[in-house]
Amino acid sequence: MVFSSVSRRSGRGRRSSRDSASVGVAQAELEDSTFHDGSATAPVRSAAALLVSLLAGFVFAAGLVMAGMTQPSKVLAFLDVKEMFAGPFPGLWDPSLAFVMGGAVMVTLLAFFATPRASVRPWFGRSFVLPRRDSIDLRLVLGAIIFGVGWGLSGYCPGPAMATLLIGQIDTVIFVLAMLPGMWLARKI
Amino acid sequence: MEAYSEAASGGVLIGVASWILLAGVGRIAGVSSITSGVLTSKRQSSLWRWAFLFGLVGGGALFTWLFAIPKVEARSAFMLIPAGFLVGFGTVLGSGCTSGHGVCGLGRRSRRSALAVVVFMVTAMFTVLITAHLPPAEWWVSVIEEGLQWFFRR
Repeated sequence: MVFSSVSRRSGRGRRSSRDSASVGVAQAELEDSTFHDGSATAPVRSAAALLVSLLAGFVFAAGLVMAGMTQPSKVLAFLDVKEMFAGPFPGLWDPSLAFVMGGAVMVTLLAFFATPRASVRPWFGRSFVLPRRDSIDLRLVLGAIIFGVGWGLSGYCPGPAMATLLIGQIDTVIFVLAMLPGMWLARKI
Repeated sequence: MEAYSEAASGGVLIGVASWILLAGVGRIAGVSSITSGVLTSKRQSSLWRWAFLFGLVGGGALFTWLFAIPKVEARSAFMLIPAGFLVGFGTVLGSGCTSGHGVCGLGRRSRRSALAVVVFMVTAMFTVLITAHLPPAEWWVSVIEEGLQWFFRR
């Protein structure tokens, strides 16, 4: 399956050669705005765009806190699959966090299906900036392994760590202060 | 049962937030990309990232207080610092974390994200499996201290 956000979001492109040519232009426009490079062809800076980003972060935090993701003890209890065998299923294992991912993905499946098809551009931006790569490489697997080790050690992934940065616990502050240089280094190599 | 419904509704909220960001500014709500983008991108093109992080950090503080979520006592820096570094390095090397690959990537039905989610879940579970059987960080510190003392006495 070749993945391209552009061909995916416009069913038009498959109909005629003239339309697919215009899709090609859109694709070129997205070329230098690939995911992790940090640059964007369409800088997002209008007040409305900033406000809606702020709202997204706010709702995201509400979800994380409500779901229990910001409590490392809960996360580690979910990751501790050995407890599954401490009695009849699920034993002492806490599977509730699987429901977080389940609930979230149900919504995003709908979101990524509907929104790019409903319009060519977002409300307050010039274009959808979606990752287009679909090849599996060593960086991806190695990165996921390294992240998994850190997550298993601490019970924090980046979202919950940022959401608990200013709640007055030193635990996350130490974690985030160590996380930022890690991110910076990975961006530089 | 209540824990499950709270987890699921929290998850739905996370999904809705990702939808807002997608529909509003056309971006993926991946916290590792957004945070690392703030560190390395030009300030002008990163304003929306700052706004998102502002909402995330502020919202986290507000809702933790509203829901009266208990705070975590500081654990050993010998665990937190390497763990934080690995999380930062790994998520950017692998182009995403639980939100970018998990929530958004699976929603986009991306093959890369599906693989990443399986790999970091299994690795994290395996890590917990191992560390649950290992002595705590304080024990390792005392072992290293004793080793150094023994070494320098000679």
